[in-house]
Amino acid sequence: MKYRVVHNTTYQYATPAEACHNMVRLSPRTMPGQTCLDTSLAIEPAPPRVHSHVDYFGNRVHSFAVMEPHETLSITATGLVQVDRPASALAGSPPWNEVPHHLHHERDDATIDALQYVYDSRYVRAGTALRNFAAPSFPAERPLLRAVLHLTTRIFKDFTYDPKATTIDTSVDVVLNRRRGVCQDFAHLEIACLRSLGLAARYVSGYLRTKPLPDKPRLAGTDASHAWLSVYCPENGWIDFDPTNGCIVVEDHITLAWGRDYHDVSPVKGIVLGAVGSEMTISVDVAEV
Amino acid sequence: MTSIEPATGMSDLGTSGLLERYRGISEHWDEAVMADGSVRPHWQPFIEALSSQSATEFQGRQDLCRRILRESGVTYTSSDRQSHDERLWQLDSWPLLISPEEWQTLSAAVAQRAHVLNLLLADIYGPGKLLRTGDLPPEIVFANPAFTRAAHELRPADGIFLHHYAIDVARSPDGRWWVVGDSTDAPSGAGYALENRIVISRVYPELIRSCRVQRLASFFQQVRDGLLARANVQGREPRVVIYTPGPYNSTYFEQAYLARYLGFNLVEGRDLTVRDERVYLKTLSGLLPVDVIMRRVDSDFCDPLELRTDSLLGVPGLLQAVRAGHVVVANSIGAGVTETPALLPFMANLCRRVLDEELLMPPIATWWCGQEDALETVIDQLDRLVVKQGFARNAPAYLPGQIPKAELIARLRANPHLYLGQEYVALSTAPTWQDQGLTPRHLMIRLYATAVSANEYAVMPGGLTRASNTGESILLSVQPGGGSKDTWVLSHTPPDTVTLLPKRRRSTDLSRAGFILPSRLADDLYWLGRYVERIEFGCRVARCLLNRMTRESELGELAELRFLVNLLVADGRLPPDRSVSDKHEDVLDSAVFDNKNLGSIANDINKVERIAIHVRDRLSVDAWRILTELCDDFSRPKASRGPRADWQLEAMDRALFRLSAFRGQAADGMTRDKGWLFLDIGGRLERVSNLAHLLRHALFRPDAGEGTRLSAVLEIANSAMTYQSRYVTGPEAARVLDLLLPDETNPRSIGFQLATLFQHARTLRAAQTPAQHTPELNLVMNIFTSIRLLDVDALAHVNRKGRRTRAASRLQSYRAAMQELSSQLTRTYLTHVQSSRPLGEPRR
Repeated sequence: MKYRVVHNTTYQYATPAEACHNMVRLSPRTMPGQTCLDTSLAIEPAPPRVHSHVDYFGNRVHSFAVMEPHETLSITATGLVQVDRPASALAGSPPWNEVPHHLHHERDDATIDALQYVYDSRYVRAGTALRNFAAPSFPAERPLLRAVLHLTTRIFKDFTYDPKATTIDTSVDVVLNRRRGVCQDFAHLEIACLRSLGLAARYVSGYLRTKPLPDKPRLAGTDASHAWLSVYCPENGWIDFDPTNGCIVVEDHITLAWGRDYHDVSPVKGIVLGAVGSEMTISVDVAEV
Repeated sequence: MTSIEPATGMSDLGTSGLLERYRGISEHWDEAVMADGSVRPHWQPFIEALSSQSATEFQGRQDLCRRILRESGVTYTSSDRQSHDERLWQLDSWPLLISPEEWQTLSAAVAQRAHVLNLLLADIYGPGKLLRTGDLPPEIVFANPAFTRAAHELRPADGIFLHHYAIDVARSPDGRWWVVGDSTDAPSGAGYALENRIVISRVYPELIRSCRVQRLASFFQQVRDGLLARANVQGREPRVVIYTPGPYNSTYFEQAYLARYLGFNLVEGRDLTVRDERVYLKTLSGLLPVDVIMRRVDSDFCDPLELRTDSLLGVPGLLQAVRAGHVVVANSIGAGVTETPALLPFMANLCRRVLDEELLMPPIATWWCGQEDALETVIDQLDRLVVKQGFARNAPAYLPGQIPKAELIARLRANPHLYLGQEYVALSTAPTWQDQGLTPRHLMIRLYATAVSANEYAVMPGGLTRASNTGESILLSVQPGGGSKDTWVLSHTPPDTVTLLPKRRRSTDLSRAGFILPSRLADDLYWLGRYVERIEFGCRVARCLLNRMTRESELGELAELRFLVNLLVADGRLPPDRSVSDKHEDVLDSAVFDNKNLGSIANDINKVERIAIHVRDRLSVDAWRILTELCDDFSRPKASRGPRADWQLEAMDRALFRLSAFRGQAADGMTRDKGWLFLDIGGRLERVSNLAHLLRHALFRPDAGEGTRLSAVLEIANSAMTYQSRYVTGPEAARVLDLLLPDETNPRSIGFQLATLFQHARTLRAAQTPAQHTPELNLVMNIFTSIRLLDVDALAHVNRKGRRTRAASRLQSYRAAMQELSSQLTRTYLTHVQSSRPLGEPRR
């Protein structure tokens, strides 16, 4: 499957901004099952320079500053991505309850790297309530991936997609109580559940195809960038699940970046100087080509 | 545990008496005396020198300590952010002595440890080999919030991550030293150690020489040279700044002190800006490149773009500048990862791994519960171990029995990696002067090291000894801000000859320019000047009103009162709906004391308080004290006894007295640098504006009450005496105008303010662009000239409609000109001062 992604973020200020510093993670990753064929970034007003580096998690980061007064800032990222993700075999995974021990005792690079996704991070705090919520999906000896899919499906069924219910600072505990939120919240919630069980789970930011395949319902979260999660499975590596759509991730998802939670990978962030009031609009188009 | 009571109430017994009675605490090591009471050899010269002294003389030394500290304003602020409670730094007049042999051991251990920690940081933020081998359990890094992923691979060119290091050590009853903890992010306290030494040098001027106490100056020179050497610059002098979280930080005094001592600018995040991956200091003379940042801000707060988004202390883009290699941050961002006590049990092995050496000083016995065996050990021994949290700074430690055992065990089992168990150390004691006698007090020493290169650390020959406040304390940590002692490291040879103050200065280095003035400071001083003047004007109007209220009411005075209330309304001190028919005491309560009224004087005083704390460095100790008292007066609950107008009047008198004292301090106690210039410009500009406003209101519509109005004007403008000395008759418009407008001999006149502003604008221009007229100079010159050419009689002219339109429009134009001058100054000098905030984050 080949996609063209166009992602625009525009800030409109009530009074001109004197300057702004920005950092974006808008280049799709190249990884097993996904190849980024082409990517570009257009910024208005054009900054004198755009710097680029790869972050701790391997994501491509672009940073730039606009040091002249401006009333709007527009960032457009375009990407051409090939996605050929094989469907995962759910049955072949090890019993979930063996995984925590594996994570703490194996010393290969992949496991050591996975270990850091076991612990709390800024937006994800593990806890008893989360563990209790996850428990019915995790009877002893159930293969890990099957258990995670079970939990993913439960979140999809039990929770309501509601952009008004939460803000970026709403904790996963509150999301759990209210049974409402957006894809970011559901991803954080499921990550918190998995970490509460001693499993390694990371946050993935990316996109969904805008138009559904024939005979398939339109997916939620297509009008903007999307978020889901990935779980570490000792034999299979990292496998992605999308609680907002209740599915295992195959070819409808395009991965931008991953980290411990939203804070590590937010696609666009910035600091503005001098402006009062800002309004942000986002548009995302993901077309199959 | 018994302690021998100190000799109390024996005012004139010789010290020999005091010392003979001094004993340590049983089962604890005493630094000065052995169990049998005999003095340890390295203390003997000190004790002998003091043997002839009386308790009164000792008390005199303690009093001297306290006096010097108070005079120098040495403070430690409570770390509680709610209360900015400042307290005087506590220093005991009895130093702690360390023998040359013991120092050899201690300093070698400190240098070694700093070296090991630097190598650990290089691995953690680089290849991560130690995580893979398991020598460093990965959990201790990954679960540690201080591990800053954004700083990964930010490898400094010279391999130095840890530039400044502090370590707490304690001595157990068998005389061995133990590591209590490491400080690797932004270690504090070295400045206090230096300050302690400077005070104690005045208390024992001869003794400190005869005892051969090693000096601290050369260490600080190494700190200074080290920072300068880190700079990656060619062809110009490197610029180093000390980056402070600001005056609300508990050790702000020390940061300001070190900045002065080392000769570096003390800056807040707002003083710095990043452009094209380079860091600049925003100054009156434009942007100046910064090469090295000595960091006292916690890592997490340094860059709101990449680290904590909610940080108000940060510099957006700082990490990117570090990444580009254009600036060196010392210590490197994320260096706090090695502070966790969870690391203590692994240090011996890590030292062998990275240095191939045995660790010279052991840590106090610690078990990190993230390992299964260790967890069981801790649970087995909960009755004797202290349980601490490994990654939460300032988290409470659980003493045995403090919380139910079952609950603690449940917590440990749920999140074992977050906890560790630690043995107690029965801390050693040293003689401390208290209540007219010597008492043993428990102590811990903080030692300091600075990087000479990536594999060589210099250790400060001294330290910050912190002593417990009570004899009972056997806790692991001594309360910060408790007692402190100067730490004397003795030497066999006479101490080096590097002098402390002034440092390294030859006559050719003499500098009168002082520090560069950051724009933010100039801005703060400018507004401080304006607010102080604005408060004074408000207080004068209020006092004028009160004077008339408390006097017997006479005919015609009602108009005067109405004029004054209207003036308060026009000044924005009162909402427009307040009128003269309201009870005057209520009107004044609202205009002066009501914090909720945004235009009130009390509100301006709050602003002054907020600004002043940021410019405290620039003010004299007395000027600062006056402002604090002024603020205290207004925040204190109002007196309830007696008629309200009486205490209101008293409050205004007191406020005006304090304001004039402050002005006196500013005039008499501040260097005439640009900082002072902006303070004064702010005040003068505000005064012109207020006077013009006052005169316009009084003169626009002449009527029968004009005389009394004008006498109020003279009173508010503090010129009534001058007027009376010149004219026998009551106030007349033209004469009042003459006195308050063109008369440059009257320091309260608009003309006088403009003459001064003219001088100031010229001084500013001279520093900026010689030979050119700056816009602000043009502005001031125009209005100054027009005032000199003023025809006062024409100005006082009343037109056919019975109005003084000419005077009104002229006065209005002065006020407008001041507004314009303010914007012009802001544009030219202060534009870099901007507030920042995170951009809205997307929600999906």
